[in-house]
Amino acid sequence: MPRPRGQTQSLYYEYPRYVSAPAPELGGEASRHAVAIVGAGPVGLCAALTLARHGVPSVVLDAKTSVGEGSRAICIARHSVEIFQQLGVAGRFLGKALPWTDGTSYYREQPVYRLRMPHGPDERYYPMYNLQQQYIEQYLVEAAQATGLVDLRWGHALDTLRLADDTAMLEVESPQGRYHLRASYLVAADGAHSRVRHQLGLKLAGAAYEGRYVIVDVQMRSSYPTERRAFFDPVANRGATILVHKQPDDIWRIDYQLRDDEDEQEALSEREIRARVGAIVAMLGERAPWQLEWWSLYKAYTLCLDGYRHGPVLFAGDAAHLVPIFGVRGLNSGLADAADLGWKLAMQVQGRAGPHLLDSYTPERRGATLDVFAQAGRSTRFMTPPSRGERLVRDAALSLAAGHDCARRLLDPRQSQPYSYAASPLTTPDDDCSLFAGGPTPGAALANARLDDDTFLLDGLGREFTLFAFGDAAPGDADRAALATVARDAGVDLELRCLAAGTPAAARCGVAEGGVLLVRPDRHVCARWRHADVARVGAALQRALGRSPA
Amino acid sequence: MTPAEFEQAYERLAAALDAVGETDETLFLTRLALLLADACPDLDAFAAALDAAQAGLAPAAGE
Ligand SMILES: Cc1cc2nc3c(=O)[nH]c(=O)nc-3n(C[C@H](O)[C@H](O)[C@H](O)COP(=O)(O)OP(=O)(O)OC[C@H]3O[C@@H](n4cnc5c(N)ncnc54)[C@H](O)[C@@H]3O)c2cc1C
Repeated sequence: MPRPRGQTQSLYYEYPRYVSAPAPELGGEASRHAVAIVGAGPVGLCAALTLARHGVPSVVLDAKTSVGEGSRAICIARHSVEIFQQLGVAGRFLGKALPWTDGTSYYREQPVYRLRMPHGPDERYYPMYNLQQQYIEQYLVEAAQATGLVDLRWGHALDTLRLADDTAMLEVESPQGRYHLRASYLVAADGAHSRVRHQLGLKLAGAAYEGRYVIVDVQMRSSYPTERRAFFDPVANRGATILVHKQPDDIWRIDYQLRDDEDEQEALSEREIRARVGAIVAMLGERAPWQLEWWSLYKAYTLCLDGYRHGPVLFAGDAAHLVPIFGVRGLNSGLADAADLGWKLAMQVQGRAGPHLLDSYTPERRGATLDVFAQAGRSTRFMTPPSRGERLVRDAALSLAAGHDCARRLLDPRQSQPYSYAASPLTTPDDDCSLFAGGPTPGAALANARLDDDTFLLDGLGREFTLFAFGDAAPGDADRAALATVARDAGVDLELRCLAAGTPAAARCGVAEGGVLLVRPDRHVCARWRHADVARVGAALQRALGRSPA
Repeated sequence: MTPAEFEQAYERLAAALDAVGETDETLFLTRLALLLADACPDLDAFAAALDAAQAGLAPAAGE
């Protein structure tokens, strides 16, 4: 792909150079590791950090010696920032990223839809932030280095993979030579062209969409606020669409759709890109000079593996699924994979998992992928209608959107939301949901609601399981001792957080007067009750650890 | 109709248009409009929809 400058040269970002060190296995025995991770992209790094948080070391292989090239995924959803908070990187992320809540969609020249993502004073984080992917990767790398538990091997590429006796046997190519490595578990986070997937003969299945986008980053000074702008049939791209996002460092992301009759090669020539971007910048009313930073071609896919676990191999992120960018789920759903997998794998390695814990990864995360397909598939068909019928109805809706709510609602881009593991074998359903006034139903992620001036619910999330007890449901001394016993029997730590009722946080949890929520390490609620009955808490814990069959 | 149902109506209409094909598109849409007129509670409702559907479209030449 042509670049305005040499590879990994940037107008604003200095690519770190990571040292490629010789592997201890070189020339010696293939030593056995508990967990090997292929791919130090955001998902592999997030998995390594989650394992480290639970005290589990890992070896991480990556073919390259820096962070990924180009800004790629830029929109990070609130639920991903909550994952960053647990991994200790939220502070750095927030120090650089641009928060936003709103967006505008235009049909021709007219604004027809206003996106307002739910936000309020009782939220810790904004619904969305924009930050270039290479910063995110850099922060994750530095955090991983700081743990002392992550053996990051830059310039080391997985070549062949064999599974024998439930062990992953890796052959790795490194600058210092080839070596063998054995791992009890292998996390395949090696991206869209996953070598692990190919080596195991596995294929992604699903759909490809017709629409093609050129994704361009330009450097340009503009005081326009951070929000999502979507243009349908605009003057600068008649018959097609454009998306515009602001990033830090005066970088603007411009995605423009190619019309069906446009040639890809021609469209990706620097001359053509300059002409198209020039017209778009003029349409936006920007007058400042601009420079090209990076560009790429993008096509939408909804593809995934049939199962995310294959014996000792667990697939995460783009290696497991490719999803459309509309609704910003690519990276966000990969980070959620890592958060889900991380604690389960840690428990497994430590011998604390029930027989069904690791198998719950596929229904939970593949379930999330299929939900993303349904949501993002609709957004993708709206952005790039695949048939004449879809295009006619889409254009009719757009032309009615200014005056009619029914049509305007169809423009909602359905931004990424955390998926609920309601149907998971780990989740204990409500005995009686009428005891709760809304709140997270079992399987849903706990809201990070405000407790007081500067603390929020997730600040109290324990490293393992947490029992949030509100108001009159706080357990007495005898029950506390009994709870400690059931946690010990289950083999996990159970933090007890007793909180006042009648607060915004209690209301968000649906327990205005009182109630108890049992929460997993990845902040998903696995059970809730009006009062904490110790035996039930114990049973729900056992179930959340995969000790009852699906 | 709930927003979710309206969304399904949108999708079914798109699928029906694709099934009918380009040649019979106009006839299909006109038949659909007549049947929906019959489903309207009264003439005023249909007249309002007619006006809204015409709004913003350039009038045909000769008028
Ligand atoms: C051009 C482009 C534009 C994108 N734009 C957006 C966007 O706007 N919004 C959005 O949400 N998402 C976007 N994405 C997707 C987003 O970047 C991915 O979802 C995200 O990077 C997935 O992270 P990952 O860690 O799973 O994979 P990757 O980031 O791809 O990381 C995989 C890692 O594995 C390493 N690796 C691969 N093979 C081997 C091997 N054999 N041995 C060792 N290491 C190996 C690679 O070096 C790489 O570091 C874009 C992707 C691309 C390519």
